[in-house]
Amino acid sequence: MKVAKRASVILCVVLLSALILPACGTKGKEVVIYTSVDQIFAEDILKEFEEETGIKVKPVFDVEATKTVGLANRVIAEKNKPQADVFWSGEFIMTIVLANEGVLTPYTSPSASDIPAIYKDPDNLWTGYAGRARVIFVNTDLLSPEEYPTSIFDFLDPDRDPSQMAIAQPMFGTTMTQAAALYAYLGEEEARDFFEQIKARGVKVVDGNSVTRDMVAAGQVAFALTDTDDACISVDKGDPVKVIIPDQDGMGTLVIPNTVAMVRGGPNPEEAKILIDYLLSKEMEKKLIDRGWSHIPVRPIDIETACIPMGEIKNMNVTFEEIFNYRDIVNQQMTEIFVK
Amino acid sequence: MIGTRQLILFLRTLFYSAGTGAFVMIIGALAASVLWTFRHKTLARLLKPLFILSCVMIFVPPYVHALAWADLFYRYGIEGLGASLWVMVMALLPVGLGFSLLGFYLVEDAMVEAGRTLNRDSIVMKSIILPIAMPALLTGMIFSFLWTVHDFSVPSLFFVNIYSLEIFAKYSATNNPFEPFMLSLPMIVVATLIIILISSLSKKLMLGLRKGHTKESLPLVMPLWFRCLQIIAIVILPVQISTPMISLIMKVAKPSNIWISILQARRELGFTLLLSTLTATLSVIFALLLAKRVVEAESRHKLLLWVCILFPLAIPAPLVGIGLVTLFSQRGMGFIYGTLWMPVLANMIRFAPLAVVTLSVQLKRMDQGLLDSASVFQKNRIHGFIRVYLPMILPGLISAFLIVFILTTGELGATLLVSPPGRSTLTMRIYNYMHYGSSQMIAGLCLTMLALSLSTGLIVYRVFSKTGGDR
Repeated sequence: MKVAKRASVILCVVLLSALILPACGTKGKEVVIYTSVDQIFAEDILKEFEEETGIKVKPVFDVEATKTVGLANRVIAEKNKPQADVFWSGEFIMTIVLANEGVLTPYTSPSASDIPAIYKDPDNLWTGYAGRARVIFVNTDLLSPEEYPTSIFDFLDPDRDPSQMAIAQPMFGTTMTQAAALYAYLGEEEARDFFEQIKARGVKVVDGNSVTRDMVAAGQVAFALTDTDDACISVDKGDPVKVIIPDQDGMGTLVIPNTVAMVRGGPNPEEAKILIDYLLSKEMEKKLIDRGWSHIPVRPIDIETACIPMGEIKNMNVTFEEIFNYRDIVNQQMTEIFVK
Repeated sequence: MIGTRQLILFLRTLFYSAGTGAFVMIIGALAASVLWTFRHKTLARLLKPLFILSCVMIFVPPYVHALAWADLFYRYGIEGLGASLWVMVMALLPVGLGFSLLGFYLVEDAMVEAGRTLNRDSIVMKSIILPIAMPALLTGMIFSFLWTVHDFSVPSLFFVNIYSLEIFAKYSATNNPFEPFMLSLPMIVVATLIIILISSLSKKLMLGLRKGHTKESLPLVMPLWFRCLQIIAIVILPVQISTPMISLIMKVAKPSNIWISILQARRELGFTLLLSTLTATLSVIFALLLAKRVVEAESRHKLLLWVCILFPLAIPAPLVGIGLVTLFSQRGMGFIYGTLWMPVLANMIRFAPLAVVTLSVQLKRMDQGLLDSASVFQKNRIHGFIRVYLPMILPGLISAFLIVFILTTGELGATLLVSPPGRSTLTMRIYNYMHYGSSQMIAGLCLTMLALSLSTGLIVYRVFSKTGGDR
């Protein structure tokens, strides 16, 4: 009986708190940002913005587990009543999707004046900066320097054991973007053949780039494809690994910029502009590189990193638009090839 | 229409999920069946801590189990469907054990004693105990099946593709919820058919279910092969607990990392507790109102009611999230959209059906004689409700609350899409850390969640003890 009374009291307190708590707090200047940049990097940057400007940031972070169906789809679904002011992505494909869906609004940030035009949407719907590169990640205990792969085509080398190689599922994320870039560069037939051989050889296809990184670091495979940010985490930890920028004597590697965009009809447009200016600044690009999220600046910035070989990185000669145009066909073909 | 490749994938997924559900329940049921074959005091002393620990492992996300087992499996070249199935069984064993314990707890001692006078103990187990426990066992099995069907992250780690990956890939490509919904229809149809089957079975099997009693007059004497299987199941429990625990303890490196991870995640911890408590509370109220109507409904309506109640369990989590966003992001819905109530609603849609199931079982078990007496002597309906009805249903309320609370704590797919800006749950942070590879922080947060759930479990156990539920 006493327990029943206590349970009733607790119930009332919980319900009352839930009704009151969300309404508490004074409403000052604020800005809502949806971001797929890893929380561990973005969180501190957004806190620093709060301290510098006094504008409260309400972030929503994406997680790798939901692949690319998370926040971008939320922005699309919220078309009639946008919650977000700013969309900050670790790549560009979903940002172009949002632009095509009509959920972004043009904004020319003064902070982006020194960013080359190739990194900007022609209608100023988004701006790219702070690139990450697709790299081959090698376990140095399992391979000697002369055995290091230098090209993504080494994944098809008959003299190498395919069970010692891994890639992430190419239907999602930056691996899908790289697949689309290969389609744009090599042509549909040759690119499809490349991935069919990857599948036929028995190269390990795993859940994400962080998994391929962990497998290399743990010595479960000798080398794998991943992004610089994932690879550099392992390098910084002191794992027996090395980052190889592939195809520097050939087609180059894919560099994927972060993108920042303003959401159409967002509740705080003025604060959104201040945040976008902050994120796109040269200082911020350097900060993103110093903190390990990005490794390839899009404008002249003095950087020092022990993670990847310094010097100019040869980028694949394909445009973002060309890569985006292959998105649907790549997704369909990769699903057909790999989801069996 | 789905093509040949998709059909093969679909059938393999059904096989894999059904296999996982079956193994989860077989191991869970064998372990829990010691309630009938051990002396009660021995059981309490030796196995209660093991059972409690095994059940609270539900707080460890399947992906953490998978990472721990992957370390071991990769070393010996073990991969594929078998490896993935084993890991999912380990992750879902708390469900199997929990539902099995519930099922066996419902069996009346008097019926067993009566049976024993007429036949062998093994026949009593087969003909009385198992059939009465069956609704709970089947509920646990379908729950494990549905969980497995939607989770492609664990199979991916062992190089196995399942149908939900196809749905995700389609969603990723189209950004339109309609196409993946169409693709997920076969899965929803199968899940609904299973739900209908379970509902009709449960209806028959729950007849005659009234009140559990003490089992102090036991043990039953079972054949040697059965006892061997029980021992194997009991041995699996420490393996299920220790593998991720050892992995977590090794990864956390030093105790101070636990404190650091709690400090960094204190806001998420607070939000998770608020969200889970609110969702569980409202789900229990909703379930209380609905379960009474379902139990009292005419039998021709009952099946339809059950199908409607359980149908949300068949819908993939991201579709629940996107559906709610689409519905509530319309103009005029600002009073709920972007507030705490959105994730509460999403989690209620996903998990309140389980609260209804739990409370329906409890309602079936209530002593009608006591309720009739109360209706004669009560001053008014509220008086009778507070003094008689509520104390009688309290164990069911607490069980339902805990189930929803635990599941909400770990939910990701729908919560991510509807959580208010500036708020995130502990699970969202854990998955973020996973991508970053911060194994110390993941381990710290998982150990914190384990400690929290263990404390909650002990508090609930004390409550049960005071209300007589311990028996």
